[in-house]
Amino acid sequence: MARGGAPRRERDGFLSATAAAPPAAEALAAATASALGAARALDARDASDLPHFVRNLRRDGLEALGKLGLPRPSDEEWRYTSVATLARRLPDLLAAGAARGASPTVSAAAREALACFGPLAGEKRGLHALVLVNGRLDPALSHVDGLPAGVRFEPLSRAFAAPPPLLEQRLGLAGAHRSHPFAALNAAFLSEGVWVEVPDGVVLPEPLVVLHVADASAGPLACHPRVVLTVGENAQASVVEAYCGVGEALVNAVTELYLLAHARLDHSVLQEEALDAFHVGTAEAHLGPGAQLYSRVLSVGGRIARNELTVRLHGDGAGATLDGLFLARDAQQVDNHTLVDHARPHGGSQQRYKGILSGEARGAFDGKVVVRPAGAFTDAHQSNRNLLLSDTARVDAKPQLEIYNNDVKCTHGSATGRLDADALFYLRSRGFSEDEARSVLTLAFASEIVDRVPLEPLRAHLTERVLGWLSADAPGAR
Amino acid sequence: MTTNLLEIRNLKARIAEDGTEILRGVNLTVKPGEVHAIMGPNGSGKSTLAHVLAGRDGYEVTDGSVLYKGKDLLSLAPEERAREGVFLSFQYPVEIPGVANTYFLRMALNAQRKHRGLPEIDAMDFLTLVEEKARLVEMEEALLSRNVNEGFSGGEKKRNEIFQMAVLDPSLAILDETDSGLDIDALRVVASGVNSLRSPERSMLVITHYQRLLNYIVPDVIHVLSEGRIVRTGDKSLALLLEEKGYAWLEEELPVGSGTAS
Repeated sequence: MARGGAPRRERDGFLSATAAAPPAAEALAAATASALGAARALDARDASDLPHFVRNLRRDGLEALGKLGLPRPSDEEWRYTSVATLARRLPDLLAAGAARGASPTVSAAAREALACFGPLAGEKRGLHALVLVNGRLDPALSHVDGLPAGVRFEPLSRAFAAPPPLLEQRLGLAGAHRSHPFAALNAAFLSEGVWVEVPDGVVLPEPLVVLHVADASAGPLACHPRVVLTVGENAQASVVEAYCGVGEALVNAVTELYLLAHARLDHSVLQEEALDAFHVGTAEAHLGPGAQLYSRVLSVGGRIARNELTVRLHGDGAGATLDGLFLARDAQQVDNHTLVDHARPHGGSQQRYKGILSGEARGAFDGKVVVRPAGAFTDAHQSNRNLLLSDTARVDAKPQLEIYNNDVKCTHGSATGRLDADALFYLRSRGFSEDEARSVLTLAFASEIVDRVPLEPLRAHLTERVLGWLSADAPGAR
Repeated sequence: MTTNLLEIRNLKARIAEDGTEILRGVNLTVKPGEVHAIMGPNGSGKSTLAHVLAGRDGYEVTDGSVLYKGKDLLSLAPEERAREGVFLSFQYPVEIPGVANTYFLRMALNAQRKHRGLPEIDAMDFLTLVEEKARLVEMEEALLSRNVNEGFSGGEKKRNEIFQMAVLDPSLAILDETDSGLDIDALRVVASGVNSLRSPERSMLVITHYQRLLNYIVPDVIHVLSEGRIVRTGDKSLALLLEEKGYAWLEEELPVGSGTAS
């Protein structure tokens, strides 16, 4: 299979093989048509200001979206995500945002959502933060100062105006926009995002934080941010992508991560969208020889959230750690997809995804490890554990291994259960109330992921999120 | 006259799930400072009695009453019993990954203090208390910072139970098969920890299958539980008799239902 190929969507032919229920199919077709129309209108307005390679990417995205259409419920890769619900809202989300044009000032509610990231974005800590409000850079809220020489951390709009030499080479290189409907949608609407370039050998002492705020307090909207990041040879960086917002928005984000030889990247996604938002995050990482990726995804927000992460180990001896924690309650849906592609020998990968669900929430973990014929001596492990806090919550787990080399060590496992009755009684027999006992045990379940976060402010943020989620979920709080 | 700390009257309980009767009319009175041993063969209802007193789910009390410090114990939730000073040392202490031992213990202690209208314990005072009590059962310091019982050996788990008891300072300690799974050295350490916690303000129910433990923790009173009733009550010499003759001897002497329970 060629580099950049897309094993997860090889069976495109079956998109039209099984007819979906007519209303859903109509909604999907209408949503696709409205997306194409809105993207063409955007392109007609501003394409003349963009470099040719950005226009090409938009055009490729548009073409792919026209060809693929939005995913159907019968599509195996999308069976756990209610695209139909999103499709029905998509024309409104796309039209309303475009009609209002450039975003005005951030609403008070959005500022409040943003404030949750205080310690991460705070100037006091000397962190570098770019804040994108509804897909546009807000210079007043952003703060980048004193980066090491040669490091670029800037909005894509600025990079488009005077493209750095590497940008044209990198933008869209991961190629998801050709095969993935939402990545294609993102490409078709591409106008803003963040460009990060860490030159060879540079070690960034502080994390780079990208805060995405979807402020739909004045009405529904859609935004399609893109983060494109290159960590040079022997360079090290830490990047946090955080998502928050207010109101009904579609945030359709694409992240492209390029780790050159022996680069190290610690990459966190904090998906904390509003509870009526839709979030689709499609991230793809390409690892060169000896490169190390530490990825973690926290997903707590969104009415429907889909977190996709593809890691391609193209170089010998590359390694990836993928940690995930997803929390969902009420009628939330959260869908996690990972693909780790071992294309070269001596690679290692370790996946640990944990879900906590209550109410009527639905969750999914669909994780695949592929070891190609050249992937000898691969050491790959995948684990998914889920905790159900109600009788009506549900998780679908689909761990998969596809191994084409005999000389490998691969394991996977998945388990879904309830809080342990013996442990609950043990705590209560020591004086913990039932609520306290539940929350201590639930936090303990999450701690396996949280405790491994190397950055203290980020670890504190995660702990606070989990605790906040628990207290909002306690019977007394409902 | 001293008030009784615990008064169990005609307590009958069954397993909620299948209705199996386990306790068939237990009568037992414990005064402050007394140590009572409850012995009996497997399946006689010893652990059920401990669980019912601590408030574990899964049992239905069908008759009788339990007064603890004059209050209706059975109407209290397990955590309320704990805060009122009832402590159960588990036969099988539960491993709780992700929860540090000292964090757990501090929360437990503060829950009790809050219940008694006391402020939360100061961090330094807590540290001093923990170090002092850990010495009682020769708990290694490393175990304190580890997760509750996670990866502990059988002996370490039992030490941890007695250590918790020492910190939480209960009025009534129920030790459920504290000797099970202990080698002789660990048994000595645990028993000496328990003995050092004997006081006029603290009563204990020591539940055991074997007489061995009672060589180290010498009870004031021994009861023999059989088929859900106390069939014999005596002093420490009763344990020796049981050791010599076995439980079968009792059943021959006192057929079930003979009504000679104390």
